[in-house]
Amino acid sequence: MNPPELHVIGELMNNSYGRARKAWQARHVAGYQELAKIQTDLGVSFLTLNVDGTQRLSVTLQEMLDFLPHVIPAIQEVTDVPLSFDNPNVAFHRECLRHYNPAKSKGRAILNSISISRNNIAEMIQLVREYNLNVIVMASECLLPDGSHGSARTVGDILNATKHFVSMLREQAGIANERIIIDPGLAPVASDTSGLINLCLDSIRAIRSEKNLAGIHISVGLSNFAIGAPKPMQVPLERAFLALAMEAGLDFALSNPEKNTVPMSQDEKLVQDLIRILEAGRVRLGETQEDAGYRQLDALMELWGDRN
Amino acid sequence: MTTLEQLSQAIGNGKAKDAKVFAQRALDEGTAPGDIVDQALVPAMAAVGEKFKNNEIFVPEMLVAARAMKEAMLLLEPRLVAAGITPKFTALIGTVQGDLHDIGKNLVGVMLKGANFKVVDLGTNVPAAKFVAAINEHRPQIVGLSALLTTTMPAMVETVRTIRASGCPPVKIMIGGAPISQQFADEIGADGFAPDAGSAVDRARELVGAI
Repeated sequence: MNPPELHVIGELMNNSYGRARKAWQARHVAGYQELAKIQTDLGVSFLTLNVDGTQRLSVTLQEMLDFLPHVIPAIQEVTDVPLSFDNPNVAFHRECLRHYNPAKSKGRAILNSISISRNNIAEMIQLVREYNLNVIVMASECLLPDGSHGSARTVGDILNATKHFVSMLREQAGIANERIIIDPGLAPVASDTSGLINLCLDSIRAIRSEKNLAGIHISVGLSNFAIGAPKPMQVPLERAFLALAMEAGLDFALSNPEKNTVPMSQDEKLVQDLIRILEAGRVRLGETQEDAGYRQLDALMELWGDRN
Repeated sequence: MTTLEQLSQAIGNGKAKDAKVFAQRALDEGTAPGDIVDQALVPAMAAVGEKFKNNEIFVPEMLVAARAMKEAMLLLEPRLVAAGITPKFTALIGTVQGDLHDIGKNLVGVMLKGANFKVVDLGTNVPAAKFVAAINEHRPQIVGLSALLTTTMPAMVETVRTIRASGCPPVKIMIGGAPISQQFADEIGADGFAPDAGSAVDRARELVGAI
């Protein structure tokens, strides 16, 4: 059986990766071209461009803005895969789009991302409209009853945030569901005492069951999933999660195409283990989320063996 | 094995029920609650932090250990309070305004508690003025600021500036988060940076002069 289709947004052009960091530090466009080619050859649908700072590297907005006019045309010289511009700052996107030539790409670029907590939503949506973009919506943030914003804690929170942005994008940018990519938020399983992995999967299913959301895309930042787990377990865990998430309705993933974009087969032991681990994290009658969350952690740790 | 050693081991292995049993047993045997904290809880969590830094254990092991310590602490706390024993140092932590991320900040919180800091957690999306008010109220030695987003790094700059300019009691400010580096800490005048929760405790202890 062929696996269902997954659109990969290759994430290697990000300073969290050593090769990208080296290219950034030298402002070496050939380094970016190399990463673009590698990922293009691996069949990704989009290429992330993220030049954020990391724990090893400080980056200012001005440094980003200075480099974008050089790196974007250079990347477009070597690939026709559309870019996914990843930054919360509207000035970053404006500069990217000024130097991006859509005619050289075989599809629309992505603006990553808009969310409730941003104070630049109107300007971002304006860019989506003006440049005919796809857009990623972070639905893991929601509006609280008092008007402030918080982290989504329920499927209802994520559905509400999704619907809020879908109607906003429809009205203000005139775009259809097919150009919207919802990211329900994927937390690291290693610290998930709050049921957030189950929340992610439940939300994917809930979005797929909404008639008005037909055709919409759903994505997660896959590398988040296994952060904090032992290194040799990370890729297998990501692939096992991918199997469950795709079964739930995921069709996009921001991930490292060199490693982990292939879902494990459903009958692999690790997929079955992960199902059991997440089931352990469901709150039972009379207990708290914390009780269930720590039971999930206990089950997870069994994956990497005995602890005295 | 002594009861305190058993308690240490239970915490190190993240066995919350056992930790409670051995903490009760230590009390029943007449061990002073302050000694239980100093000789079992703190060394157990220090060992957990060390193993975490060395990649011998991972985030879940650290979390279950912290939870086991918390269980033991629940038994000890009323007695510590009655005996007038309070943690020597207080740390105030929070994620800066505009940023809702709390996983890293929470890990730092549990590890600081494990090192017997009193931890006041202001949560996420915390305005600079709220940090200042809490510093005046709780008189911490350490303030820990977290940010995950590059867009909220300016809020961190603003928070450090506001705290320094507020005339509140002197505090050591530590910062951390995925986009945060030592260079950034130096640039914005923070006193400390740590790349992970285990190192954050070492840095906090250095800054308060505990090591």
